[in-house]
Amino acid sequence: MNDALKMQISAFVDGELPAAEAELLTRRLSQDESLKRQAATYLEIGRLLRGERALPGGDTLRERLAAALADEPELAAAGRDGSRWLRPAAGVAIAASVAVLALVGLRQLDVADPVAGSVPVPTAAIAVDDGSSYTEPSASEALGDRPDEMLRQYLISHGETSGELGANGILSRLVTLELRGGELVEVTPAATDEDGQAVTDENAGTESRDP
Amino acid sequence: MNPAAARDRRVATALLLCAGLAAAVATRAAESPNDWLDRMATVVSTIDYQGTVIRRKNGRSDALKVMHRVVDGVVNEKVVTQEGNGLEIIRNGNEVHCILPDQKSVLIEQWNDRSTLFSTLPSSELRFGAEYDLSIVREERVAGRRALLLAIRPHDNWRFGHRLWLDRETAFPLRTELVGSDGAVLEQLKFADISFDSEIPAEALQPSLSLDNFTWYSEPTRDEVVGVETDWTSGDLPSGFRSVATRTEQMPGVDEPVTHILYSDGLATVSVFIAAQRDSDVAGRHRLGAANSYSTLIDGHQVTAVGEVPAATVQRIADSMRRE
Repeated sequence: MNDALKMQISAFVDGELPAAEAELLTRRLSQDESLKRQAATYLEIGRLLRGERALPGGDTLRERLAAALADEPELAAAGRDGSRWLRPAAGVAIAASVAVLALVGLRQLDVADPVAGSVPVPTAAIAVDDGSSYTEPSASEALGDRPDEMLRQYLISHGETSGELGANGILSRLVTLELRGGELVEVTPAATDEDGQAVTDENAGTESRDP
Repeated sequence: MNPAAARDRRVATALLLCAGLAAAVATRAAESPNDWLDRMATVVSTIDYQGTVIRRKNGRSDALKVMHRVVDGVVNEKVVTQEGNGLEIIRNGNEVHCILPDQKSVLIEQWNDRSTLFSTLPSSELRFGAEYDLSIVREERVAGRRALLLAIRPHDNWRFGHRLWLDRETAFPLRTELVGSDGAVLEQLKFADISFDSEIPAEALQPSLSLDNFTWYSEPTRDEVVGVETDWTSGDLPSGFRSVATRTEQMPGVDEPVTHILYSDGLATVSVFIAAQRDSDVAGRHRLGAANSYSTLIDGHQVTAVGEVPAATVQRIADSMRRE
């Protein structure tokens, strides 16, 4: 299956395919078992990720697809057994497992698979992707396993440089803020003008300023 | 009716039809997805607004109160987290104060003036090209307002997709999502409520608490040289990516400056850092939110690619780096 068709199916499952194209795709799905299984996989993944037990109503085309897929025994079983739903095509499974990592919310700083020759990965950072339970990370988990100093510097620098392109907003900066611990330089507070606004000092960080 | 009069009427009718057609085409053009993006890029930095944003990331959600106003072209913003440590970010032009109440600390940062709360998309001169499809999907309601859903879908798996819900009236992004290749939402920002017409007084943009006895910190100075030449280049960039900036930076704990090359496809950005190899350097991957990194060793250097792109993309780019 080519990428364009995969994207079309993915768009269909997301409810983002124009109605005319969706009709055509539905017809094609009804005639092609391989396509049907692919669409079923996407649909099931989407449902599992959203924690849905049933298809949302109100979308006739998607309901029709669901009805067309109702006779897929493997997927029906996958719906009952969360550990089996990663079996479909490898690419989909890998991508979906990333999403499961996000779903179980292990931590913001995850160490992924090490490549050959690397140091051992902290075991606390490895996620269990059986999808069988949802656990909230503790505060200590969320703050643990920081990347090494060099990578931390790289992430901060990347965030700032992307920001210069206008490609990073305040909320992305929250992440780099969380990375900054331990490298700050103490200064005295900035002066404020009559409106209470901070007065910019070009020598911030190197020169004392009156409160 | 004489023949001349009939001809005149036919011409007039044809002209009217042409005018009508032109108007219809113009209307359609005005509502093209690119026009909506242009309007969005303008409105995020020019309109005053306040509301509550829900941020969802890594399966966790948090709420932030947001205020934004522009006075004489200077952006004032205040973001207050509603849960956890009560972090406040207050921006006045390029100076930003990050207030951490639980640590009784204030961090002062200088931000580039092109960063705004929702500037998660690059500015228009870096508009993406053939690697993405941009389409208007449908109309939905967000924060009680009519919104148009725009989908930015990549043609391959080397980059993430985006969904934007733009306010029909103002083109303001009421909701944004970063979407993985499997359709999973990696990051979501959504206004639960928002108002554009209420006046935001200057006092409202002040810290919510007294900063007496707080310790103030500045970000460390980072020595860097921008616009440098480098003999490092990628031999296998995913389609659409190109080098947009090259600089050298002095990083703590490293004697030699690190070369930093920024690649962009107009929407996604990837930084490649090249440093002289140290004994402790190893190859490896990391993930931070939607960002992935990959490090490898090439020609006596550690090469690390970092970006809000799939893990395979940073690996491909890092592995492709060569000296000319």
